[in-house]
Amino acid sequence: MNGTKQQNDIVLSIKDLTVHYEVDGEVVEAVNNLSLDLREGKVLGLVGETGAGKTTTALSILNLIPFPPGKIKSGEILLNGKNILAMNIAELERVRGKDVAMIFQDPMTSLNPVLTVVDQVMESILIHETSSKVEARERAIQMLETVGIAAERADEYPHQFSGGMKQRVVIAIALACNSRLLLADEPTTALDVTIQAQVLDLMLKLKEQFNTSMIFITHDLGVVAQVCDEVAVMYAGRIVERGTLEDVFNHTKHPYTEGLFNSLPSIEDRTARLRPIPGLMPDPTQLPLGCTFAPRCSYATEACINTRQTEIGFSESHFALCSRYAEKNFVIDRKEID
Amino acid sequence: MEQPILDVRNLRKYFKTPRGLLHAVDDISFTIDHGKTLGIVGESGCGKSTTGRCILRLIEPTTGEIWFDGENVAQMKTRQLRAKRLDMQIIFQDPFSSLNPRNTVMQTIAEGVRVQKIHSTETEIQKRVLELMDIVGLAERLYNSYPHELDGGRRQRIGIARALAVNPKLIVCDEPVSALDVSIQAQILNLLKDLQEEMGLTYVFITHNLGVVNHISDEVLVMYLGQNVEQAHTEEIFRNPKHPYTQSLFSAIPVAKVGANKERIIIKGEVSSPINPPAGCRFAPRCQHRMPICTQQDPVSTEVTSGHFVACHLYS
Amino acid sequence: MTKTVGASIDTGTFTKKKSQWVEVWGRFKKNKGAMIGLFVLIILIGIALTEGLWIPEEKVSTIVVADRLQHPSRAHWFGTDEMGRDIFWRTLYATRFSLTIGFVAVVVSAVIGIPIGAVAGYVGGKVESIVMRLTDIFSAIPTILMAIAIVSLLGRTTFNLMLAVGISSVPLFIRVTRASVLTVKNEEYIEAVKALGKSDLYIVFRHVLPNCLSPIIVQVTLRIASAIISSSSLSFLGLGIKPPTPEWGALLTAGKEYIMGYSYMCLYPGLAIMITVLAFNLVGDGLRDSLDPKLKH
Repeated sequence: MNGTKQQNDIVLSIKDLTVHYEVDGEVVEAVNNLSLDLREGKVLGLVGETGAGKTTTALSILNLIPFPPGKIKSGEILLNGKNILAMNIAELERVRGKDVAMIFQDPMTSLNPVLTVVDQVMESILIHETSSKVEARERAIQMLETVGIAAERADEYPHQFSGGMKQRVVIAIALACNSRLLLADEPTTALDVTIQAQVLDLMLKLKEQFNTSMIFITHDLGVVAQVCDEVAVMYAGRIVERGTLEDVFNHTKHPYTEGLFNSLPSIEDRTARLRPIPGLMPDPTQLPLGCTFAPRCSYATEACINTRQTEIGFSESHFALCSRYAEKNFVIDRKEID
Repeated sequence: MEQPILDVRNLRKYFKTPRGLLHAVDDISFTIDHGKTLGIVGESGCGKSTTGRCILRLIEPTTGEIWFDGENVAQMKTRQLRAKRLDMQIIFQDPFSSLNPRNTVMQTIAEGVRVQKIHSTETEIQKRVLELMDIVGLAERLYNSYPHELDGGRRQRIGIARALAVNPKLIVCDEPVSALDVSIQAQILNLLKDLQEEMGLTYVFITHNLGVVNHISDEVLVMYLGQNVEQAHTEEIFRNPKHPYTQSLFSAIPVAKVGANKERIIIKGEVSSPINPPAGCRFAPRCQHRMPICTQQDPVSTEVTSGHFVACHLYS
Repeated sequence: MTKTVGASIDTGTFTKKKSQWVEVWGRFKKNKGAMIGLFVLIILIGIALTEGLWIPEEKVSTIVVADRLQHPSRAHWFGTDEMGRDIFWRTLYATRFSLTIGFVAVVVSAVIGIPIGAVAGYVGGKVESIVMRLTDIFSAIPTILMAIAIVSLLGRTTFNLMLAVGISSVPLFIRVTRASVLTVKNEEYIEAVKALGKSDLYIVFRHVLPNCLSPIIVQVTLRIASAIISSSSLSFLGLGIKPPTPEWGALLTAGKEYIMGYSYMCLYPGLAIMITVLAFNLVGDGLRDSLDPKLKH
């Protein structure tokens, strides 16, 4: 139904991805039947709480799921049209760092303490591109300057940098090869708010400059509102709601998404009592047969618990995994914002 | 006027380091009224946790007075202090490291119950432990569970029950919800508010999460590099932040709303070193309103409007 | 995982709390090497405890000059020594002495080392510096040299041998204990207990030390193995147990003069030492893995 132009536009397409971890005879269903598309130059926010399967999804995109215990049961991940899950080691090594790069949460541990920062940026360039050392060094320094690190500091070691500066170095390494896709796993969670603001600002600028697509994993809805174009909300290994930022934030459909918003202290009415989601996330080794959120959901019916959910579309871009919408007049409490 | 339950005056804590004297807390003063919550806000390394621990003297303050309930905690002898500490408890950030991994829920909570010496027989102690578990919302069946079998939210509840066991008047909450997911965070915040209402507790609530501070505090103190830069009633400070640091800090909070994050003040640079800080305002190197005086003279905290204190040369 | 079932408040009784050792055992069981080691150890300890009941005294100590220096045969499985005593029975009988030496030596070093290490780690500051520098000096002296000095000072008795071997590994226990006390004492639950007004002594024994047990237990099993080797070496040097008391090191010493023609005299006691040490090391490694708190979560 889409024209070829639109098709080419798609950088990443995940279809029906299922990842399980098998530990001591128990099966942890980390990711179940996950599908999503990411278009060029867009930022997709992958939102969810601890254990929702966000990081597993990101690692799958790099085909880096530790085996054992992890196992990709089904699905395909098309990066620029090529299936990552069908690649051999040599092909994967070419793709990782070149076509898709990753930024991890903890800048303290993702840099090698015995190499200078410029060496680490150079390393990434030299692995993927045939250029002389001198050229690579020049480009690395340029890259460091782009992320706001002065050339004089290029020959310093990671411990001489603060947390925010280290994260900038990590970003420089990730962007050194002009990757089309950047996976950012909670890149600002370990940083202070004022430093977070600086780093987010930088990431957005770089995205504009290089037209990079990004998957931004976070649990902070505030950060999502600030940087993302599209949002996918994950719960217990499934995407329960996805759409554009406006779709999900202003026309929230899924009760879990609603619960997340209700849990946040409101800025307008500061003393208003919070309405947390009752209970806990289900044990990933014993997921309910039907909707995984049903046990905690105030709208759930008998049918929700026992039957598999199908995704319901509300517009071309907006989908939710909630079968209550099969009923004509079903609405959740959260008000729509125009 | 009622005497405040806690009155901290000119609290300082310096640590000796190989590179010089680290000014972790540098002349902090504040008071809290009975049954209220003071939020202490700041970024990592600003000395907010050290301040909290100094109040209980878990860290010995270098100088300063800590008047709690009419007595100066800073001057107390060990024995006296041990008794007084029972009126002040602390809840920690990390629900992993704040519980002894070898003790069950029962053992952890019972330790506090035993200290009280009100309940003498094992049956009475058990009863009290179960009562406390009920108060903080822990199911009875978890009585003999170990911390590693429980999730972060439940572990945090155990920490709260342990603190409540000695019927404290004041609880220092050191980032109690920062390590929790939002939905669990909301559960714990509600619990803390309920407990305050029912038991008339006073909180010192230390956090870097401004949304949380806005929700739970009556009064907010903003710290930067060991110093108090601004203090006011919560509504006042959020509506009307005066200090340039407070302004940029508040504007940097990402708000979970489409289009809410357009005009932000992004401050340049990084927090400078707390070791042997130079004279003048600590924030001056990053401040967009910097004047010559800022690097020469320490700003003095002045009351700009009733109950709103700012330490900035712009207002003096 | 079994769920704990809470009991009703009225009865005042609760399901017995399950011990964490059950979980440790569960993980230990999965380690094949460690289980083999444990099996060997149980047999060895069994022999040591019961040998008086079933090993006839005369087989161990009766001298039959006519049978001297026989090669292994059906009558004498491991052969006989220069006095015609059966080496199989003597090696077996030596189990008790060698194991006892290992255990007692480690108890000596643990009893001295753990409290010193705990105090040094918990108190910190000058006390820690002084203790640790002394420990450094102490451990700069080679173990065997130290043991030789102690034995020659106090006299050559079995107990002094154990004392000597024990004392020479005290620095190790001080170091291990101090290191783990240092990590545990900064945990927030220690601060929480302080906030409850508990004394330092209570905190060290009730909260700090129990959480340092894992590395200490591992150290104990590994040190038993090396204590057996040390005491064997001392016996071999002629400073340990006096012959004719059978002890593996002493048996080796006796055999060394005949090593050219009758090497089996050294071979079997040597194998016994090797097997025992290997078993302790396997168990020690297994314990290290199964006690690792990181695997707990």
